[in-house]
Amino acid sequence: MAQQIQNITITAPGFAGINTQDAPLAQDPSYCAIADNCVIDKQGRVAARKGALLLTTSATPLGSSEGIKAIKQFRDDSGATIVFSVGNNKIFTGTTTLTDVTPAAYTITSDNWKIVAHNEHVYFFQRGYVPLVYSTATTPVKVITAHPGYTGTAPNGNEALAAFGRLWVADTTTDKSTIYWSDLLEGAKWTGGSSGSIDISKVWPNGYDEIVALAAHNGFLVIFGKESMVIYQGANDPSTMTLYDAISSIGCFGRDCVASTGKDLIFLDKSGLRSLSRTIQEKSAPIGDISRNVSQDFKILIAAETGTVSVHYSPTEAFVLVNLPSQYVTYVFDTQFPMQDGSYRVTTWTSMRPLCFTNLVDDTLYMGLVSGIAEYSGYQDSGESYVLSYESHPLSFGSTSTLKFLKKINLTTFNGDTATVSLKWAYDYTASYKKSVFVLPANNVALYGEAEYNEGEEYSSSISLINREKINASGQGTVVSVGIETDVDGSSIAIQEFNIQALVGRII
Amino acid sequence: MTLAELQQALSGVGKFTNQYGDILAGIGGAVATEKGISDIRDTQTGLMQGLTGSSTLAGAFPGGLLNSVKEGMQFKPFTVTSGTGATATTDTAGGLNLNLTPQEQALQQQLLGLSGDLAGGIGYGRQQTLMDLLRGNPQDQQTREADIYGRLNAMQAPEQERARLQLEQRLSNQGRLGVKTSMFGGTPEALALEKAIAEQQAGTAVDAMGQARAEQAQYSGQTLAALQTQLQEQELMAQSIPEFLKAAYTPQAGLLGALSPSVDLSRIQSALQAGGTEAVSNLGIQGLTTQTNLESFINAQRQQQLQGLFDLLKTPKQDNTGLGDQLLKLLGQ
Repeated sequence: MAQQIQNITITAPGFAGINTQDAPLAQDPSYCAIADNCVIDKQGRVAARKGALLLTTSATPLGSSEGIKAIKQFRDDSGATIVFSVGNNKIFTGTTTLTDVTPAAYTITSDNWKIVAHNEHVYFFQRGYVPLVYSTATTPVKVITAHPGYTGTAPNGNEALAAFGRLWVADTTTDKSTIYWSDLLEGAKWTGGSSGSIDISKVWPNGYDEIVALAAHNGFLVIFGKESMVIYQGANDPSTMTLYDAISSIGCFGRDCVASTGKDLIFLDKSGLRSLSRTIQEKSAPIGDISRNVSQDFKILIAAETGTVSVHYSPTEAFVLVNLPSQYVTYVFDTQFPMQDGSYRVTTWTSMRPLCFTNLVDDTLYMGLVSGIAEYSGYQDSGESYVLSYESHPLSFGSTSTLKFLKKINLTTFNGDTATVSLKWAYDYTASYKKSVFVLPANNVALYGEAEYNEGEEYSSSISLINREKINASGQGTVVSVGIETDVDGSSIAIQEFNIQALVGRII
Repeated sequence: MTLAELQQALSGVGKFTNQYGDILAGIGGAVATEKGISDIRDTQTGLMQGLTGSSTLAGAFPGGLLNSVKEGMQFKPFTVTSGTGATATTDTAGGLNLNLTPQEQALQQQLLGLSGDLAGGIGYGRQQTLMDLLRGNPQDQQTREADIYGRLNAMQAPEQERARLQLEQRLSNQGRLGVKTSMFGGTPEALALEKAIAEQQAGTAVDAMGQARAEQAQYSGQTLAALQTQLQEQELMAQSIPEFLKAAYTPQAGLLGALSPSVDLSRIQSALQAGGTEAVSNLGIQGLTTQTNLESFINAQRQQQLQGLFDLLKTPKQDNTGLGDQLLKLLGQ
């Protein structure tokens, strides 16, 4: 006897991002197995990420190096801006043209610079190197010892933080437990005034650790070790700042693995990405892991990473990027809609291969690539398309003991503009996908271009933005996985809805 | 030519006197004169014998009259012995040696020693010593200050150590043990604590100095009182020095007193000696004068005798020419 067709609707599929941690069948359908080159957009949909719009016209200054390893935009009080970047053992200015501004007779053999701006100055710190400094008044970039206000001995630290009105530097070649701070508002003054230092070798909760990173948050000075972290309050006056908390077994993976979201501090521990506020609240409890949904995969990749891991927060894009350059993957943690368990929705980027990120003063996201500086903009990577991939976990439709016969799949997408979409489905945990390819209709460019995210247009009934594709499906199985792939080539696309109609069969 | 030789010569020519009476008369007169001279000499000898007991003045005064007078005028040393056995001995040079008995010498030395001690105790050096005693030794005072400071500090040290430990504990709890600042060196609290401790130690040092000075003042006061007593004693002793000195020289004074009668006797003896000497001297002078007068008379007689002979020889006689010449030649010898 024929069974009634059962309709299963997955609204905003993948809205909860990737989840490779929980058992697939027990998961909410809003989780997905793959969401590559995707972000969670404002509507909570899985959407194509933006591309890397290469700004640099000539990669010649970078030679055969890995590329741009750090970028920092400096704006002085007059509003004039200048973008500094480092790569190929040089210091550059400019974006379209990279101008070498490395001080004469200053030999650089590594590009692991930390660039911080403080009180009309830009400082460059790297372990074992005498710091460099730039200011509009003391151009060009010069060794800090040549700065007119230089006093004492600036630590050749690897980590620098501009906070609480002064520079904080740590992690020198020989001293991993002392934080040095400059005089107030005087980043080149390392003796006299209110300069000083603190040796926290007796403070580490685990007995020993090494300073990896520094951060300032909500009046706290956060000192990250490899295996633990120490938080000081009252750092506005370093001489009287006091220990607020010391957390063991949670540290920081690398110097560039800390990002401030303004209301929280996100940092990468070898156990995953963590939130400082939750970590303080919950101490070392694993629940503070905001990368919980991809924890195992994430940890494996982190452990295998050999490059400079960096964590970056973009307030405009509302995501935290965790870049694993040697693994060719960037994890994207959406900060708009944290899950109930505190974890963030996760997607990945695999084809962009950035090396570093920075936010400009207008919140534009810049990134360093092998060929120069790029802006997170458009929907092409250096003029090339990239593939958006989405796959759901196996879906049982509430019963894993009955056969399902997919009859039709209605896929609702947003935008896409003539993109070729490949819809695919497979049964019973296999990768034997059946595919159906279709092309989305062209968009009304003017409407899209003018008000892409205005409240009216994107939910309008315009067929140019919303496309409902009905695909006849085939095959049978107890569980079914669905997914789409599409080349993103100049136009955004978001997956709005999956509507799967299946015939439920006998129990097997 | 002696008288005997003359007589012999004259006797040798006696036969010629017979021939030549005048000549002989003359010769006789000469002989008579010679006899007179001889008598005078005998008289002279008798006088000298009677005066000095010797025939000649030289015999009476073998060393000479002057030496005899000089010898008679010399001081005759004498010795006086007191009843205690002490002696006062004069010498020819006019010196006086007072020799006390050993007991008297011991007593004198003892009294003089006491006087010396007393006098020595009153001098400037003693005053300087007194000043030093009253003022105290600055080095000792510093040592005392250090001692008091050390004791006070030792009493305060536990509290200071507790404060340090509490601060260390607090800084440890606050994770601030490793703070070093250009402004404070370490933490402001540590600086404040060390500053407070330093101020306390400074106050303690001042207290120690005050205490040491108070102790020194007390010591000086006590010393002053003792010294005043000592000074009074010394004053008494100083007043006693003359008595001691007087007593020390009492045996000597007694000896000198005992010397006075002897001096008087010696003075009498000296007067006698002076008188005798003067008498001898006068007698000697008179004897010499008399002898000189006699010698002058004898010389006059001799001149007269010779003049008589020369007058005889003035008569021209052929035979006598040769003889007269011979006599003249003989007498001329």
